[in-house]
Amino acid sequence: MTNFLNDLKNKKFTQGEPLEPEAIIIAQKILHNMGMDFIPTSYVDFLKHYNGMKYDGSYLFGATVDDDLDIIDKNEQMQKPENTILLGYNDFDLLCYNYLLKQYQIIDRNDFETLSTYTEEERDFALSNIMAF
Amino acid sequence: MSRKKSSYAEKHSVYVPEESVLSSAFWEKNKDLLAVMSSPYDFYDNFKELEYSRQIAMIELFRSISAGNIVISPRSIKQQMLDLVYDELEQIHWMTGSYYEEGNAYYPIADDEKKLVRMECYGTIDVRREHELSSYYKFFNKPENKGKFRLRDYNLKESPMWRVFNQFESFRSIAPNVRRYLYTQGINPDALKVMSVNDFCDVIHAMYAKKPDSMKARFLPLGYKNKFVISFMRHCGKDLEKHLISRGIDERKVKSLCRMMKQYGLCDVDRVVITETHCTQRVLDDLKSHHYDVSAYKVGDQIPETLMNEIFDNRQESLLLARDENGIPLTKEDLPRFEVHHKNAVKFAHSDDYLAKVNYNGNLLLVEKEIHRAYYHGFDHIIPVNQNNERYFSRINSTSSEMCMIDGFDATRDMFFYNLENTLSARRRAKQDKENVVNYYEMQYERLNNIQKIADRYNIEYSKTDLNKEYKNLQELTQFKVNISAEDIKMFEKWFNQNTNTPKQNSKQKKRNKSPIVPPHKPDNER
Repeated sequence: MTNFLNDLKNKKFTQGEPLEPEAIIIAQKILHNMGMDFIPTSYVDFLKHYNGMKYDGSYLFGATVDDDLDIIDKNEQMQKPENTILLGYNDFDLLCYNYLLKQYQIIDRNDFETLSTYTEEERDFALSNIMAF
Repeated sequence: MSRKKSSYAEKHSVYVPEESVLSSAFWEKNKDLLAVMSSPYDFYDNFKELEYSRQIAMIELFRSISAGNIVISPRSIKQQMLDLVYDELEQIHWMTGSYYEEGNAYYPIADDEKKLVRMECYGTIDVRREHELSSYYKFFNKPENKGKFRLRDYNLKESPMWRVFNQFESFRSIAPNVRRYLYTQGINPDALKVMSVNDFCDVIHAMYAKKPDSMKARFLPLGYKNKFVISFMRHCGKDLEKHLISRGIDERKVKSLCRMMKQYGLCDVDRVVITETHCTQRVLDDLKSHHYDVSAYKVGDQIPETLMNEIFDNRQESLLLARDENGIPLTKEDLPRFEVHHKNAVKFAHSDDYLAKVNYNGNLLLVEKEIHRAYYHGFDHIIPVNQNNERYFSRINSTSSEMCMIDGFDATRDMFFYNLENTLSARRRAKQDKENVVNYYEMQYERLNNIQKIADRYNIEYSKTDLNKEYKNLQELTQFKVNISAEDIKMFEKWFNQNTNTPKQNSKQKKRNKSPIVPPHKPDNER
C-alpha cells in the first residue's frame, strides 16, 4: 500500500505550525462564507499530520498563519475552477477538491483542464502528484 | 477566564471593508501610488523610484482596478482610470520585455504531453494506479504471458508512444535502461507497439522507485528546473552575489543562498542554512569539539570550500551557523525568494515551435516570488466561452529569451540577461530534439492501428474502460484535424462501436472489419 505520509519521513520541506482545532473551525467557517463547501475530511486528516507544506515551488495549504500556505488567503487570491476548494499548487497544476463530484482534481493552471481525478481514499496520490519531491 | 485566541483566529478576525476608490481611507493608503499613476508621461521614471514593495502594491492596484474588484464611480472616472491602467501596464510590460497575450485559439497540447513536460521539469515520476494502465500492457505483464526474448527485439522506435517520450532529451537518456528493463522482465516486445504513456510511466516508476510502494520515483538526478538554476548560477552567480550584496543584504546570507542554488539548483529560502564565511572563535571552538582539525585556521580566516563541503556532507552545517553580535542566528527575512517561471505557458508549447523547447533554459526565468505572483501570474485569466470547453485566456508572456533573472523593475539593475542556450550541449540538444519531433495525435493513431492487430494476434479481450479511453483519443484526433482521412476515422469509429457495444466479447469471436487502414500521412509543418 503506497503512503504519502510514509514517503515524507525522509524529506526536507517547510511546514506550517501544528494544527489548532480552532484554526480548522475558522478555516471551514470562512471558506463556507466564501461560498465553498467544507474542507474534505480526508484532507483535514492530513492537516493533523502536516498543517500545510512547501518545497521548491510546490505548496499544500493548511490552516496556518504562513501566508504562502494559508488556505483562506489562497482561495481568495488565486483563480480556480468553480465548485472547488483550492488545496495546493505547483508550477504547472492546481490541486482542488471538487465538492460536487466529491473528488480531488489535478487541474492545469493555464487552461483549467482536469488532468487526473482521485477519490477521497486516493488522497495520497493527489497530494503526492502536486509536491515536486 | 477567557481563552487565548489561536494565532490563525487572530489573523482572520480583521474585517476588511470593501474599498472604494473615492473613500478617504483608500486615498490615504495609496496616495503615493495614485500620485505616480496620475502622471502617465513620467510614469516609467516615477515607478522605478518607488520602493519594491510599493511597486508590487501598484501592480496589485492595477490588477484590482482592471478586474473590477475596486468600486469606482461615477462611470466616467471608471473608464478614465481603466484607460490609464492599461496604458501604464503597457509601460511595465515594456520594461520587463513582456506582452499581454489574450485570445482563445491556440494549438493545444495533449494531457499526456503535459505530463511529460512536468516529469522532465521535476525529474520525478508518479506511481500510476491500476486503472490508469492499458489492458494490453497488463496482459503482457502477466507472468504467464512473459517469456524469453532477445534484447535486439526491443526496438523502442516501433513504439508510437515511446516516440512521444523520445522528443525529450531526459527520456532519450534513459531509453537504454527502459529497453533493458523490459528485456529483463521478459515482457513481450510486441507490447511496445500498444503501450500507452501511462504504461511507460509505470515501467519507469518500477525501474527507479527506491521502494516498490513509493509514490514517486526520481528518474533524473536533477529536474530541468533545478538544472536551469545551476546553469544560471554558473554563468551569472558572481553577478547575482554582487547584486544582492549591493542591496544591503548581509554577505553571509547571500553566499549561503547562492551556494545552495549553485549546488542543488534550489532557491527555497526556508531551506538555506546561513553559515559564516570566515572563521569566528565560536566556529573554531565548535569545529574543534567535533574533532575537525582547525589548527591551521585563526579568527578572520576564510573558511575554505573543501572544509565547508566536508561539514555539509557530514550534515553538521549547524556548526558553521552565522550569528549576529549577540550570538543569535541570522534570520532569512531580507533574502529574496526566487522561483522558476516558464516565460511562455506550457499550453503555448506548440505555437512556440516544438514541445521539448518548453523546458529549455531560454524559456525559464528566475523570478522574485512577489513579481511572479503579482505580475507574471497576476493577470492570468480563464473564462469558459461555450459548452464545447473552449476558453478565453490571458497571460503575460516574455519576449526575451536572454532574460534569465528579474527581481525588480529597473532593467539596468534588477534584470540579468545571458544567453544560456549558447552552449554546445544546448545546441546539440536542440538539434536532436528537432530531429525527434512527432505529432502526438498521429502517434496515437498509429497505436490504435497496432491495438487492432495485436489484440487480434494475442486474443486480448477489450475492456469497456479501455475502449472508452481510445474513443476519447479518437474524438481528439477528429477535433484537432490531424492529417488522417475522414474515411480512416469512420473506419475506426465503426470498429470501436462494434467493440464498445459488446465489451465482454472476445475479439477473435467477433466478425471484424478487416479492411486495411491507411497509415496517416507524414506530418506537414502545420505547427
